[in-house]
Amino acid sequence: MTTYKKHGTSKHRFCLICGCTDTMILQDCQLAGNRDHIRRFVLCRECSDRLASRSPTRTENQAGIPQTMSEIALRRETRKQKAFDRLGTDHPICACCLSSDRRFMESHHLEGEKFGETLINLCRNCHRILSDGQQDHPPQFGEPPITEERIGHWLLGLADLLELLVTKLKEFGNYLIDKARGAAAVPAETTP
Amino acid sequence: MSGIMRGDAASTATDKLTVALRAYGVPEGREEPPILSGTSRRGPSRWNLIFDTETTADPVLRLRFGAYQLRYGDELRDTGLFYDPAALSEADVGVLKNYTDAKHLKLLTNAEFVEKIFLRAAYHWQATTIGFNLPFDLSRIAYLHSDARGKMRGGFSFHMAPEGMKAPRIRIKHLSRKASLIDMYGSDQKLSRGMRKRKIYGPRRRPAFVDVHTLAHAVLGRSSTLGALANTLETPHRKLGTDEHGKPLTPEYLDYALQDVQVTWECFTELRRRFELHGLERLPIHHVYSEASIGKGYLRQMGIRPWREVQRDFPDELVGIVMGTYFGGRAEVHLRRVIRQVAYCDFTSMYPTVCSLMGLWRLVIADGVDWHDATDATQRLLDSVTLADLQHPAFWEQLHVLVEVDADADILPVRARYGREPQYTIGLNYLTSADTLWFTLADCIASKLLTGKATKIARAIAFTSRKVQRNLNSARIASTDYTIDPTKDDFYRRIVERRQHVKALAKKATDEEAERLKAEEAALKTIANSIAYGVYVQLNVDEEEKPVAVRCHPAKGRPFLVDMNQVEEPGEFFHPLLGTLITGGARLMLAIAERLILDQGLDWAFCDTDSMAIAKPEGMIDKEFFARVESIRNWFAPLNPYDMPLDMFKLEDANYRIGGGGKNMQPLFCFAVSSKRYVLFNVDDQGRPIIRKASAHGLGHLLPPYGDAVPLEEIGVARWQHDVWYRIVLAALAGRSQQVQLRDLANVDQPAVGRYAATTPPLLAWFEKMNEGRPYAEQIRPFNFMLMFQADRIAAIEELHGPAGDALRDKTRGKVEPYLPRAVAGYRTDPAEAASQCFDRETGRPVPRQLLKTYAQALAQFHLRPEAKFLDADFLDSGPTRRRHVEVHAIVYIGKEANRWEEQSYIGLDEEAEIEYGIIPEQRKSIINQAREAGNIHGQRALAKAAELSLQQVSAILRGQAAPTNETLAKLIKGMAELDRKARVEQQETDTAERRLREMVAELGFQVAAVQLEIDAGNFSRMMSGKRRLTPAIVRKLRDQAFLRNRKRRNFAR
Repeated sequence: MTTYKKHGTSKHRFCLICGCTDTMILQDCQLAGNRDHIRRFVLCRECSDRLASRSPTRTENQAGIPQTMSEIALRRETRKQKAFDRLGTDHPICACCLSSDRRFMESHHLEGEKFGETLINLCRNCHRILSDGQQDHPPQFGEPPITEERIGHWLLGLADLLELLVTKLKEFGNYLIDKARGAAAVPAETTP
Repeated sequence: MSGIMRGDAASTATDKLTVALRAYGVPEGREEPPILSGTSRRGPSRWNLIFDTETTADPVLRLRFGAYQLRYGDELRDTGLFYDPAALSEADVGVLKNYTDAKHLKLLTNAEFVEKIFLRAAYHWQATTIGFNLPFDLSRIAYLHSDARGKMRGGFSFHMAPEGMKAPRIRIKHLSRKASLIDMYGSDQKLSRGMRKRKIYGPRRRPAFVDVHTLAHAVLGRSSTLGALANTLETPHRKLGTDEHGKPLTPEYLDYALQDVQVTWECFTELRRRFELHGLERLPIHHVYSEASIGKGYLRQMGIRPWREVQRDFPDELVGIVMGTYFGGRAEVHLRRVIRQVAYCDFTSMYPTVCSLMGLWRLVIADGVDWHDATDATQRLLDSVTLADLQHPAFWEQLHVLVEVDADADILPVRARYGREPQYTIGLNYLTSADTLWFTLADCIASKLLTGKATKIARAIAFTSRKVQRNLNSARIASTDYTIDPTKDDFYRRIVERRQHVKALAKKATDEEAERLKAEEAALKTIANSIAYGVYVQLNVDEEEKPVAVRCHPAKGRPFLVDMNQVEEPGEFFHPLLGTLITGGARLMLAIAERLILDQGLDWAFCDTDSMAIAKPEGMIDKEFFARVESIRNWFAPLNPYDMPLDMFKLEDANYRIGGGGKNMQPLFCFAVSSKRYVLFNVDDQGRPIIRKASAHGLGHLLPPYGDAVPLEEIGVARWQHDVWYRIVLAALAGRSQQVQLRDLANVDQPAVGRYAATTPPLLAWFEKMNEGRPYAEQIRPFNFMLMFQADRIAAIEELHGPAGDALRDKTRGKVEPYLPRAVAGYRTDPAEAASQCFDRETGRPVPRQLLKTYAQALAQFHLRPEAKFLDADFLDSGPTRRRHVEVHAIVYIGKEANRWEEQSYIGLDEEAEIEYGIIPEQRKSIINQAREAGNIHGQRALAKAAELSLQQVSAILRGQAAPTNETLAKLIKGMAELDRKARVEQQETDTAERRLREMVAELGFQVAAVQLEIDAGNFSRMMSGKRRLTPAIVRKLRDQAFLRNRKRRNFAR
């Protein structure tokens, strides 16, 4: 959390954490993130301070006092690093929908567990869709599976992934077109 | 006459010795491990944990408190102090609390630090743990330790949780004073069982550990303390001074501890910056253990695949032959314990130059090597080669040849236990052998230069490089635009050219630019040193839990199986052919210099790998001397492989006046005691010496009795070592080189003490008795410092028998050899206090202080050390040494000679560290026959005694009723050699006695001589006529008589 702005008076504002409505202590808080993806919250001063002290990304104290990490921050970092270790990367991204929150990311065997170890990271939804599709693949007949069978399953897995990607791309394309259509329709309706 | 051509050793053998050759040992049944160039694992996370500990000032060195920083990348996220509540008083804890409150720092107990910070960061976050002398700090925060197993056998495993609780462990295996292997493995699983079973995980991370001390040595090429390192690297913060170790805590002391952590971090970042200059993407910083790591990083960067990977079918038998020809650099003293004016010269980048001249880069990048018989061609070449041929660079490319030699008084490198030395040393000596032996062609040419006759060749194998490996990449050197294409360029040549170019630029550059260029030059030096030699002969020794069957491939004879406790594992870029050709080439360079020196009518004082001190003969004027030196130096000019004019055999800075900018020569003098033990100095107007360069050989294992251990700039030794050399030179200048006055140096009457750390389980075991019954926290632990003292033999005799004189005179009692305790003590800042607490490491009994050698006693023979590998080089000998003429008695095959060398230099020789494969089975029979002969001549009892075996054992072997083990056979050989040596000495003494006897008879007449010697006239007559041998008693009497007469003469002369 890097910047704090003085909140203007408003009847409908309240602290997102404690529900406090005292306008004298409410303030706009801005979360530092992607430059084009800034989120604003309303918090009371007390909650804002508490949140600031928990933040693991805080850098330097204004008074130059050496930084320390709270127990909560240490535990959160442990969870995060364990997830990164499990996923094999510090930047997990769903191969289908591009979501990137490590809390719902999973590793998926592209060809199925029995046929190989090619792992890709997916969000839970996409993982469920692809794993469900794998159940329709031909059953295993070689013990252990021979190379051709492995490659075959790998290709089927890749095809499933591409199929899902195609669906997602179509959905996204249609979404953008609908959005554009909506935007184009609004001025027409409001025009007297 | 001077030099190697002098003396009669060439014609008759002076020594019958067991010669040691290197062999190639391959563990039986063990598959070749896959060679992984690089790692498939992910590196550590961006988190860094830096910590340092402060301990008590007693031998236990128990943790008192420590400081840490936790950083994400470079960004400080958490910092604080931790402490051991049981080691601090309430007042100390109060000081800590007040300090941390005031500074807003975290304060944790050691248990909390380990659980909440260390294990989380190092294990769960896979952070890089950084420290200075990290093994010591890690051992301070551990709960318990045990001996490590598996690949870390020989090291320690530290438990990071109280007994009975599961937690990851840290394993540390000491490699040298500069590097340790550190890893961490967990008892808890980060992944669920199902995930592990189904292999649902990506590439795993491993925690990383960086010891800044190790990194500094690898990047800068020298070791230093944290304070000195910070000064060298000019970090923003510097180490604070304190004398509060072990005292009640103060805020200033806590400041000191926190600053140490900050300085460690800043040193790390600066070293990381310099390391990144190399641009070695495939070498993570936590895998840098030495300069060689950086060299190997460049080879990988260029995509060069190791020789063992590209040519797996190269016969092990041939590797055995190659290893048999391997000898290290040549280091000798020729003019011993005399002051001589010298010109001290060294070869510019010796190993890269040799590599370049011999075209060895082609072997490095080749897809393997081919070999063929070249016996006739090589014999013709040897017969015809002259000094002038060696001046043509093209000639050196023909030297990729190994030669089987029928040695007959040829001057060749001989590895043996000379004199009574317990370890093998290499000397360039006359060699005669009934059986043929393998050497490099370069060594044979060197022999021809020095003896004037060509060696007789039985067989020669020439090696040629195969086609160049595919997919090699150009490498950017030290992150500059200077690139080297391995397929087109000679890497060695280009790297030296670049270094010289940068060096020249730095001299003209502005301050800031010069700084950058100096860093680049240092990086280039590191690369040149590391790739030119070491990586090709790297053999790591693994200690095995139980004996392992190893197939030994000897240079001569069939491979044989032997059970070994130590197994040699070749390093990644192991290529022994390169190793032996490089060192052979370097020895040839020195032999050429020696030949030229002798041809010019000059002499030489000593040589050391790539340098030689050319000595001015008595009576020659300086101008003439330097003109001849110049002519020798100029001889090497055509051998310059670089595209710039370089002095190939250059005069070192020590030859020039101090501050003269390398222009004005000043007479330089040399006093050399033995190999690698020498001093170079000027003499001022008042006749006082000014030391210019000295060696710390034989001094480095002792703590300074006064002053600090930081080497004096340019001279290369510490202050006290300088003073010892100064006294030696003063005595030599005064014409009494044997009587060196050291008594008035500070603290030389204190017990001489050396310091080493308990780096391996056997070393720590010395303190088992001391640790008995103590809680773990109060025990001497791994990596604790310990002090080592030397026992004084004379004092031990006095202790045993009363005054030494009486004991020595008394024949009966004098024979009883006193037990010499091996005294050690836990570390104390005051060595005198430690001396009063020391104990025998074998028995655990206390050792009285009067039994300990003082510095004065320990250094008493420093200036007299014999050069056992040569003749005329005993304690009191001075002047030119002579080469021995070695006749090969037997050949014993050995492994890495330098195994645990550093440890042995501090704590004394350890026979178990030697890797000895033994003797080939074919030779065993002949040795037993020789032993039978020796038994017949000297008696079985004498043989058993000399071999340190029981009479029954020897008798059974000689009767053929027992098959001796390799170890027993080695002892038998040693015994035979000892008897042989004794017989020679006795013969010499008898010859001298006979000569004295005749002189005495001529001087005094037959009757008077008989009366004086108290011999019956009849017996005396038979002795004179040679019908009866002189008895030992007569020989002794004659020696005493001669001694008395000489003394009378001396007294009379006075």
